[in-house]
Amino acid sequence: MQMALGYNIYGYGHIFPLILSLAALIFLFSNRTDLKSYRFYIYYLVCLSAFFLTSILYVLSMFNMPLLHSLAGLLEFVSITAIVLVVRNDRLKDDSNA
Amino acid sequence: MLDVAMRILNICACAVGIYFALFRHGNPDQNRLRYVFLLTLFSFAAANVIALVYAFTNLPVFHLLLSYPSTIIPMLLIANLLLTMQIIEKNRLKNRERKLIALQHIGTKATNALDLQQVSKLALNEILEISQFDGAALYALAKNKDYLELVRSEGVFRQAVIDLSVLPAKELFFVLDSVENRLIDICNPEYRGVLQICDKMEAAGIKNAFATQLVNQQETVGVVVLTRRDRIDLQLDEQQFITNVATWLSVATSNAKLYEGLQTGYLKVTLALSKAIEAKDPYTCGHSDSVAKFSANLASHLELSKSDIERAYIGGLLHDIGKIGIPDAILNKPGSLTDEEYAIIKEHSYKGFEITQPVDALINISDIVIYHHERFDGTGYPLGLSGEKIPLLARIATLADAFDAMTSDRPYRKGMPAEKALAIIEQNKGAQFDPILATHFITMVEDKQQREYAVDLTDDELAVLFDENDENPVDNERAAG
Repeated sequence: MQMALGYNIYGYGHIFPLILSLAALIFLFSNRTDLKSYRFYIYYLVCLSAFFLTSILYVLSMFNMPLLHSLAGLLEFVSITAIVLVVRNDRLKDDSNA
Repeated sequence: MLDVAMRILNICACAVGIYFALFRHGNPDQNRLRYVFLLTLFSFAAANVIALVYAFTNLPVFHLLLSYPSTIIPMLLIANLLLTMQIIEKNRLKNRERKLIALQHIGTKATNALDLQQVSKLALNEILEISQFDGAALYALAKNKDYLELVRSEGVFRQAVIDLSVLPAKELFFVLDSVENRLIDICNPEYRGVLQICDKMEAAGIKNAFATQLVNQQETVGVVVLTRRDRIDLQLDEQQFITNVATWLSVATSNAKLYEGLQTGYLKVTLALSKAIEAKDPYTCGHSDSVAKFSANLASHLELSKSDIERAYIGGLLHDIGKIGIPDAILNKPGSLTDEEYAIIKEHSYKGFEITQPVDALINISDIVIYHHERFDGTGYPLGLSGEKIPLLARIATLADAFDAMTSDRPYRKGMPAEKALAIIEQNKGAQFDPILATHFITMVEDKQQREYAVDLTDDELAVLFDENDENPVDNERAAG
């Protein structure tokens, strides 16, 4: 019980990433007409969606569910992989990206 | 255990990303973007290190700490995206500006220059520079419209060992007519059976070949062929740029054809006039042609401009055109001329000037016609000009005229050997001839090829002006006789 309370107190911090990632996703969707011509748009979408789900899992893990914490780690891997792929492939030398 | 394993995997993935961001990422001028990428990856790494500590210690405070780097990650991702879009937009604007400048250059050249080689060199190189293609060629439709002749090629096309100097017009237009003024992949499977050239191109390692028609005033004047050895992903703006360049090339090709037609017409008229001189004065038969060739060769030897070489040639052809206005009785008189007759003969240079001056196409050779009997020492006619006051091309014509008069066979005497004629020219340097030009002329004629040229002259050379000129030391036998 004490542990669950601890999670509840300290886990509230994850509400901020949750809100911010939701806001970022809304931004991404609302500007999709401008952004979708960029070929790495989908990577950012995957990255932020995974991160949004990660934040949800972190918030849920406040309720003493350690498995959700591990699942959050897995989703975080998806986010990191997407961003690494962008870094790896995005040369931005000319408008061929557009 | 699963949590620990995931966190370690995430930290490793971040390390890989950081490596790429540090050592393998894009241009140096995109450092701002690189820093934001690095910050994002460090935030992910920090979050996972904290999560790893939390997994080992199970202290709730680490769960809270974990949320701090996670908070800035979404903001960093959006910052990444915005910066990337900004760079892309900047690049796109820069490219668009470059394309506009290139089109402006090509347009200026296409409307001002009549040399298709110059225009096509600029246009094809701009296409290669701005688009993804690595080979480009311009083909013009032949007069009989059966085939397309290669005008110019750049890039891979220049290096291609295969013979692509001629393309079949019928087959190519069959393919290109299916799309109007658009760039089309001519070697896709749909057209492969129609166009044999694709096999040739493939043999040369060219995997992609695109073409577009050059249409001007609803008439096809040529084709632009673009190639690439690798796979190509053609962008819409790239296609538009190439289509615009093709439009300018069609204008340039049409202009070049029109100019060529005008030049041919002009040359034919000039040749007709030179034939008229020969008909009037049979002694001069073939002389005009020889003087034209010697003058053009000397002009070329002196590395004068192309237009000056052309002027020297046309001037040589028509230098005696004034003889049309000389009575036949004097011109074809078999014996020696009286002083009065010789004075009339001397009028031919001014009469020639009067004939050429009102004609726009001949106005630029009128100075050759009027001054080709001026002497360097100022004792010539009609104006008695001396030294460099005599136009350069007229001084060249004087040399060519004298040399041909001396070396050509006449009905009443045999032409002298070239060596002797050159020796006489050498003696008269500074008197009759410009000394510098005379030196060049002697050097040029001493060249074996030039001697062969002289030998090849027509058999019917007859006496020209020098024959009647008392003051002319090179061939004065008629006047003296």
